[in-house]
Amino acid sequence: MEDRKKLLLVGTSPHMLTDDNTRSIMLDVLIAMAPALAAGTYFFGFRVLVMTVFSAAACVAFEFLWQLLMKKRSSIGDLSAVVTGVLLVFVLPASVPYWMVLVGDFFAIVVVKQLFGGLGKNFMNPALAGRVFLSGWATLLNTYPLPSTDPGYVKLPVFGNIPMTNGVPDAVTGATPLVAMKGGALPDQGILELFLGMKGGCVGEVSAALLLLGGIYLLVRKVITIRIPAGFLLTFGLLSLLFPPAGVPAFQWMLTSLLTGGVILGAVFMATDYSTSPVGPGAQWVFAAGCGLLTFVIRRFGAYNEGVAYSILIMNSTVWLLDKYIRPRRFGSGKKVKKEAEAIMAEIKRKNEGGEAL
Amino acid sequence: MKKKSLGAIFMDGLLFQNPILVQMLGVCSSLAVTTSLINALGMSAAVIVVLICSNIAISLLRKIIPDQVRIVSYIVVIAGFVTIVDLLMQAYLPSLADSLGIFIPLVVVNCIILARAEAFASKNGVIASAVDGIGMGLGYSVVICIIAFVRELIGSGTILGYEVFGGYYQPSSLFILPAGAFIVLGCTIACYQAVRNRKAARKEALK
Amino acid sequence: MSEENVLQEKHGKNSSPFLDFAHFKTALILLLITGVVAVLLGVTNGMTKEKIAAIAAEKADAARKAVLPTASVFTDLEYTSDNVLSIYEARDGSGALIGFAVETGAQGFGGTVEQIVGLRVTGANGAYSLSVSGVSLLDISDETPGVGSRVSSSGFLKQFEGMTAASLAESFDAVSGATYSSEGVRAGVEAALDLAGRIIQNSGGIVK
Repeated sequence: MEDRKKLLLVGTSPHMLTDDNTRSIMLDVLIAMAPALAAGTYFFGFRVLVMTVFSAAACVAFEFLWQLLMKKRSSIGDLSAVVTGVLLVFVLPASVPYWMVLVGDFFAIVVVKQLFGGLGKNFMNPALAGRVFLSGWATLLNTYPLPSTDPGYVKLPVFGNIPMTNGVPDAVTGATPLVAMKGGALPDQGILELFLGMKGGCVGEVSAALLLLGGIYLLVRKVITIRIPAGFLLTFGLLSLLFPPAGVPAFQWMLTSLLTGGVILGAVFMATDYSTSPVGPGAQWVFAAGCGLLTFVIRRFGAYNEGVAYSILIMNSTVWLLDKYIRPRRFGSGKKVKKEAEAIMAEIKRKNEGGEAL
Repeated sequence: MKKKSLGAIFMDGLLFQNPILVQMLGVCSSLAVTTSLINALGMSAAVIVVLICSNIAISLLRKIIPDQVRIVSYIVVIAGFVTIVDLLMQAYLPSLADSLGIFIPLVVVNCIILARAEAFASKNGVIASAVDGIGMGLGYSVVICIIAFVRELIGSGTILGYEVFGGYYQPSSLFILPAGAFIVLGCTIACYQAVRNRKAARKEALK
Repeated sequence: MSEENVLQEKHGKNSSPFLDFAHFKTALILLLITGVVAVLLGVTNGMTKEKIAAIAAEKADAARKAVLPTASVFTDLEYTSDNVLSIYEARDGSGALIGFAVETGAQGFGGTVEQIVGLRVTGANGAYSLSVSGVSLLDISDETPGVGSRVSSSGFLKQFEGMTAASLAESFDAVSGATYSSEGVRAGVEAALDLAGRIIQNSGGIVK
């Protein structure tokens, strides 16, 4: 009996133990998102914080109830549902009604995550898919309140919905920088203002500075590698630098493009999601470059002024393909080794056919 | 091959071999026309009528049509037949043609029609083929009406054009768009499979 | 036995497959089937052609009448311009010109917004004024359902009634969230007013 126990403990390499587990990784992600959440609360009011807590709680509740219903072991302790809930609020405008957050949470957790088998088996980023699902309520989703730094800022109610007339929220709203950029012009805000986050937009995407701070934390904690964020930002930045609209200074256009919309949020927190990004380093670079390219294409040629969510979701659905064809070189493999092996095999074959003993 | 009873043929079409849920036939049209229940009902009527008639016609001709050119012949017979019905309807029943007009050309390219001609009508007698047409047509209709019901309810907040939520509900245009069609179709198939698997498991447990 | 030998065995010593009776029969049956179907189609088409054309003309007339109810005769002027597909002159029972019915197709969000614009002509002795009597949409299937398709709401279309080229240029309320589709409708109305105005001017009249 004792022997059998020992046998069962034998696993595949690497035979190393770390303290990392899903819970600790997710906790790191939550810590990294805290600065951006603080920025969102500062710019759009206390409603953001309440909405984030509400969304996280709803995601946990949906996961718990689903697993109870399906008689599965509950996995709410791993905090992944909390991360999904927070990320979903990050990609919504602060003025959306609470019921929309609830619907998005449901779609993200139950349909995108649990129906496909739970954590690690979903093929799309649940939070982004939740946001795209909500695009059916186009008017509500494309109305962005002004930030608190704007002279026209009006406080949003913390609880309850924003009153509406004819399906349009009454809140004081303004065009985001992306609207001006869709017209091929630089927005009113300068680079520094965009970097700090003084602009209309989704809750978590406004402050590039604090998002990057969170990204550095994740890099230091080795939760993510530099490959996906760097590949995404470099591809998108380079394309913006090379092809600015007519009459706009290229370098300024590149910085503006990188600092507006959800590019940094997407590159740091969305595209790096473990279960929806490739495993191999080469595949990760290709994945990231694809995200950057698609974002550029959608922003420039598409009907939408923002394409980060769609490009990440599209690249999510190519991950299986990238992992299949772009594999890291195994130790002891490669062209040179293969040639030598072939020579040896040919030798053996020759000898066998000759009837010689090996 | 063992002869099937007419009831079994009918139930195959309606449920066990449902064209959309099991055979994945006619998915294209089921995604395209299900934006409202009235559209789905129109398409259902067109498919049932054409499917029954084409099954009967192919079954009658099955001994004459040579094997090597059978697919061509089926298409010629079905397309010709549908076009004649379409023209007659436009001339003598213009109001019906108005509501069904856009579906008639769609029916010709609906793969259910050709698939049933090839898989069933070319091998079976006239009555069996007609019953197969009714079963398959109804099976298709039930499913597209379910999809259309859900899409119209969520996407427009109406059923057959009537407001049902009294203005409190904000419709989600996603469900009118193709993406919504795929989501609803996927969920419908998943539900069907879940029920079927559960039934099969229960049967297994009883053994 | 090689493949060639098998073929020869099957078809007889010197027969080519093209002259083979079995193949000939197949082709003949196919020809027969297509022939019968073609004849049936031809006969049906001949029977129904005129009737269908009459119904279509009646329907088009009814659509034009919907935007210009007082007219009794429409004549195609066979003009087109940017965004205008066709323009009809409308006269009442006594033969006096009362307006135009213009079919327009301007770029919306997903494609072309096709509509009929009714224009009323008032005034006499060479000085006329031109105003919109009604707009009805024919085909907006390329606009996003639930978003762009909201331009079909009567409130939006009603605002054009009574508008002149000048008042249209001044103000117009787009459906919120459906800017491009609304613009498609507006551009169609504008094109209709523009072409009708030019037609009046070409015939020596003045549009006030």
